[in-house]
Amino acid sequence: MQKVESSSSAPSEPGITLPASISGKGTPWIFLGLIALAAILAPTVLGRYGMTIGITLLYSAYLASAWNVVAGYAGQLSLAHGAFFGVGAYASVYFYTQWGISPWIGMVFGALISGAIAAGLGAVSFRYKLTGAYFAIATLAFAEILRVLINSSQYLGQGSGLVINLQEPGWWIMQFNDPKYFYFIFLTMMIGILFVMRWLSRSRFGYRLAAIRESEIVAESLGINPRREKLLAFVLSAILVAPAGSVYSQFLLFVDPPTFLGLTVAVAIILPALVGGTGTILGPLIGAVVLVGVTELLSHFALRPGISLFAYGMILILSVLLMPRGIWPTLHDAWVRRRAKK
Amino acid sequence: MGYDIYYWLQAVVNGLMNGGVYALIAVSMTLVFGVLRLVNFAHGALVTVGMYLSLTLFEAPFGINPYLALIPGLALLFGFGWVLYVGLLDRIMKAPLLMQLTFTLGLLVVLEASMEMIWHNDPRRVRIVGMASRIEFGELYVSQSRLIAFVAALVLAGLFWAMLRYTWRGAAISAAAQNPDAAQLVGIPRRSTLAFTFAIATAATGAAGMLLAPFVTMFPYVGHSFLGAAFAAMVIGTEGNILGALVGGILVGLAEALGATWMGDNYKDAFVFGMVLIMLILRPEGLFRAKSGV
Amino acid sequence: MKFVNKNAGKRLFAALALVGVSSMAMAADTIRIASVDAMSGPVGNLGTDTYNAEQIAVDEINAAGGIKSMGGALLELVPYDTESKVQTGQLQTERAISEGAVMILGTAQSSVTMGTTTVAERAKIPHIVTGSAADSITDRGYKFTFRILVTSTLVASTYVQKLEEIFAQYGRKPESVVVVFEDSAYGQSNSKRYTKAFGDAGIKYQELSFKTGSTDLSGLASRLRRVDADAMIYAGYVKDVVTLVEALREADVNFDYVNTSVGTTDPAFMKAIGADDAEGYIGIQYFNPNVSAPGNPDGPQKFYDSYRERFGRDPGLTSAMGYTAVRIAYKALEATGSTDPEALRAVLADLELRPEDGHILPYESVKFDETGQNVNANSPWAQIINGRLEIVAPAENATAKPLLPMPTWAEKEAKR
Repeated sequence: MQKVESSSSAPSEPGITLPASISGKGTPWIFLGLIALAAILAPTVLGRYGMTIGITLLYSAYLASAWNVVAGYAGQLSLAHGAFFGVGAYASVYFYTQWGISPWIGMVFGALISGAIAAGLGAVSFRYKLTGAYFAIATLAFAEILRVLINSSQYLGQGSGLVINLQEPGWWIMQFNDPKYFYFIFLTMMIGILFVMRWLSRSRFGYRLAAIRESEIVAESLGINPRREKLLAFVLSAILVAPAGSVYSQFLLFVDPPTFLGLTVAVAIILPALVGGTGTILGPLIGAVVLVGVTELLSHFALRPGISLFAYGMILILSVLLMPRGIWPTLHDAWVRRRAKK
Repeated sequence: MGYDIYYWLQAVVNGLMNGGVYALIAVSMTLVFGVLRLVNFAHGALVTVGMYLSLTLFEAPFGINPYLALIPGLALLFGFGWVLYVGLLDRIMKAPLLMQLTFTLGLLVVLEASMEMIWHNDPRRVRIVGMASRIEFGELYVSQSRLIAFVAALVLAGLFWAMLRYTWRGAAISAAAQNPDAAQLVGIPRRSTLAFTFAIATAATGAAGMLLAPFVTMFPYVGHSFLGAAFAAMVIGTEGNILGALVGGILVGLAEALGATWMGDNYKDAFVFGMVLIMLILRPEGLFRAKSGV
Repeated sequence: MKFVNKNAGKRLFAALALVGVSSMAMAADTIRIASVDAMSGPVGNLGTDTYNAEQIAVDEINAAGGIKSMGGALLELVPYDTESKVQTGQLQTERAISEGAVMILGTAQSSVTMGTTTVAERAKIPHIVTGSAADSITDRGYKFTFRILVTSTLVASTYVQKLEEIFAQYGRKPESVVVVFEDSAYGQSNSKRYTKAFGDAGIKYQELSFKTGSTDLSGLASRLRRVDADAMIYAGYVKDVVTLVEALREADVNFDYVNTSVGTTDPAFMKAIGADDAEGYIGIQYFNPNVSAPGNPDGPQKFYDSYRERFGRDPGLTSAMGYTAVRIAYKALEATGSTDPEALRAVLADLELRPEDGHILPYESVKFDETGQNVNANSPWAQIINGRLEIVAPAENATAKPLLPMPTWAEKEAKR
C-alpha cells in the first residue's frame, strides 16, 4: 500500500514548495523497465526521423532530470544550467579540434570543468545566503556573463563557435551516420540518470536535501550543514548536465553560443521538469514526452507563423492551471486515490 | 578619433536616456513583484504590446501621434492588465514560485506568438515626420524622442510613487502587499486591489513601450532586451521599492552605456549582469530599505 | 499500473502512426523536394520569401511538362519550418528525408544550415544551400552540400576593387574605413574577411561591434560620430540595420560612403526607413531584375513580375536563390532520370546552370567547385538613388553613376 502525502504550499512564500513524492516509492519501476525495453527495441521500428525525435526527447528528459537534482531535490532554482550544458559542449569540441582528444574523454573534462564552475558559483552564492528568486537571478546573471565572454572569445570561435569536421563514423571519435547510435547513447544516459535519481531518493544525502528544501532552518537544527549539501547538489547537477552537451555537440557537429548557451537554453532545459513535476523521478521524463510530443504534433499542422508557438505557450499555461504540481504527481495521486477506493 | 571628456559625457547622456525608460519598466516590475509577489516573465512582452499598440494607433485608419496616443493607450493598457489579472493571474497567486514561473513563461510565449501571428516578423517603425531629430547643446546631443521618453517615463514613475504614497488607493495597495488576507479583514478587497495594481503596472510597462516606439525598431520579440535591464534595476533598487527601481533603472542605463563605451557594445550584457551579481553578493536586499511600497 | 500504462501506450501508438502515415504520404509520379527554412520565428520572413520563390519555379516547371526524363513526373515542393532554430531545422530535415524528399533546399540562417547540411550529409541526400553565407558551411569537406549564395570570402575578395572603382569615378581614393559588425556568426565572419581585405590593400580600418537584436544603438552611433573615415562598412542582418541607420540619424552621423551589406537591399529597409531617408545607402544585391546574364535577358524581370503578381510584394532577399535552387534541382533530375541520391550528387557536382536553364542571378552561371561552393557567385552593389535600387558596381553592370558622397542627414532634413 502506498501512501502519498500532499504538502500544502504556503501562500505568498517566496521559497519553493514541492510535492512530497520524492521518496521514489510512487515510481512504477517494473513498468519503467518495460518502457526501457520498448525504447531499446524502438530503432528497429522507427527510421531516422523517429530516432531524431527520440534523441530530442531523451536529451530533454535527461537535462531536465539533471536539473531536477538541484532544483527539485535541493530546492534551489538554478538558471545557470544552460551554461553547464554549453561548457560541456565547448570543452569536448575544443579538446577534439585542438588536440584530437576523443570526445569521450573530452566529455569527462567537460563535466569536471562544469563541476568546478558550479563549485565556485555555488560557494559564493550559498556563502552569501542567496536563496529562492535571488539565487535564480544570480545564476542567470552568471550564465549571461559567461555567454558574453565566450561569444567574444577568439579561441572559442566567437559568435560562430567551433566546428567539427564530418569523418568516417567511429565510436572513438563519436561520429555516426545513423542517428540511432546517438539515440542509444542518450538512452543509456537517461537510464543511468534514473538510477542516480533512485539512489538519490533513497540515500541519506537525498534525505538531507529534502530536509533543506522543506526548511533550511529546521534542517540546520537537525545537524545538517545546508551550505555544504546544497553545494554538493549543485555540483552534482552540473557534472550530470555537461556530458549531454558534449554528446549533443557531436550530434550537431558544431557548438556555438546561440544554440548552447543563454537564457533560452536554460529555460528549455527546465521546462520539462516544471511541467512534469519537479522533485519526482519520473516528472522530467513525462514532461519531456509531453512537450516534445506536442511540439512534434504541432509542426505537422502549423499553418501560420506563430500558431505552434501560441499553442506551446497555452500548454504551459494550462499545465499550471490544471496540474499545478506537475503532470506526474497529479496523475500519480489520482491513480493512488483510485486504488485506495477499491 | 578623439576620446576626450565629451566622448564619455555623451555616453552618460545616452545612458541616462535609456535609464529613464528602464526605470519606468523596473518600477512596474517591482510593483508587481513587491505587491503580488509574482515573478513575471511576461513583463517584457507587455513592453512589446505597448509598442504595437502605438503602431496600430499611428497607422491608418487612426493616425494618432504616438504621444497623444498615450491617453487612450494608458486606458487600453490598464484594461488589458485588469483582464489579464482577473482572467488568468489571480488563479496562480498562491502557487509556488516554480509554477508561477512556468505560467508567466507560458504567458510570455502566448503574447509574443499572438503578436507574431498578427504582425509577422518584419521590423517595423513608427516614423514621426516633421520633428527635428536632435537637440544639441555644445558638443553633446540628445535625440528629441529619447528626451521626451526620458522625461515622460520619470514623470509617470513619479506619479506612481506619489499615488502609492499619498492616496487612499496607494495605502490599500501597500497594505495588501504586506498581507493580502489581513488587509481583506480590514475591508480592503483583495482581488480588486491586486487587479488594480497589476493593471497600473501593465499600463506603466505598456506606456514605456509606447514611449519607445518612435525610436525603437519593433518586432514581436523586442521586449526581451528590456527584461534584463529591468530585472537588474529591480534587484539593485530593492524589490517592492518604487524609488529604488527608479534609481536602479538610471544606474543600469548608465552602467550599460559606460561599459559599452569602454569595452564595446557586445559586452553590454556582461556589465548589466555583472552589476546584478555584485549587488547580490554585497547587498542582496538592494540599495534601499527592504520594505514593500515605498 | 493500468491507468498510466494505457495513456503511455496510446501516446506511443499515436506517435508511431503519425510517423508511419507521413512517410507514406507521397504520390507515385511526383518527385518531392523539401524547402527547409525559417518560416516563423525571428527570421521567419526570409524563409517564407525563399519558399514563395521556389513555388514559382516549381509551377513553371510543372506547367512545362515536368521532368521529361522521368515520364513527365511533376515536382512536388513541401515546406518544412525550422522556426529559426537549429534543433527544429535538424528535425525537419530528417522528417523531410523520411517523407521521401530527394533534395533539401534551404536555409536562410547559417547556424541552422550548419545543422541541416550535417543531417543531409549523413543521410547522403543532396542539400542545396540557398541563403546562408557563412564560409564554414562549405569548409567541412561535405560532398552533398551545394551552395548558390556568395560567401563572405568571395564578397570580401572583390570588395576593395569595387570600393576603389566607385571612389575613382570621383577622382578619389578610399584611405580609411570603419567596419561595424554584429556579434553573431554572420557579422563576425564578414568583418574578419573585410578587414583582411582592407589590410592587404593598405586601407586603414577600425572595427566596432554590437550585439545583434539590440534595440538601442545610440551608444554605437555616438562613437561613430567621432570616427573619421571615408567609408562605413556594415556586416549584419536587416533588422539591425534599421536600428543602426535610425541611430545614425539621431546622432547626425555622416559618412561619404555607407555600405550596409544585405540590409539595404532587403525591401524591408526602404519600407521601414522611408525612401527619402534611405537615399544613398549602398548594399549587396543578390538579385536585381535589371541585371541578367547574356542568354536570358528577360528572365530576372519575369521572375520579379511573377513574384509581385502572386505575392503582392517585392521578392525578398533570398528569393532568387530559392528559384535558382529549384531550377538546379530540375536540371539535375532531368540529367539523371532517377532519384538516386548518388547519381544526383554526381550530376550536381559537374552541373552548370546557364541563363537558358532559367538562371536569373547577376552573373554568368552557377557552377560548383569541389567544396560545393558556387564559384561564379558575385553580388553587384546597389545604391538607393531617387528611391530606386540602382547597380553601381561592378562598372559593367552599373545602371547609374554612384552617389558619392551620399547626402547628409542635414541635407535630407532640408528636403522634407
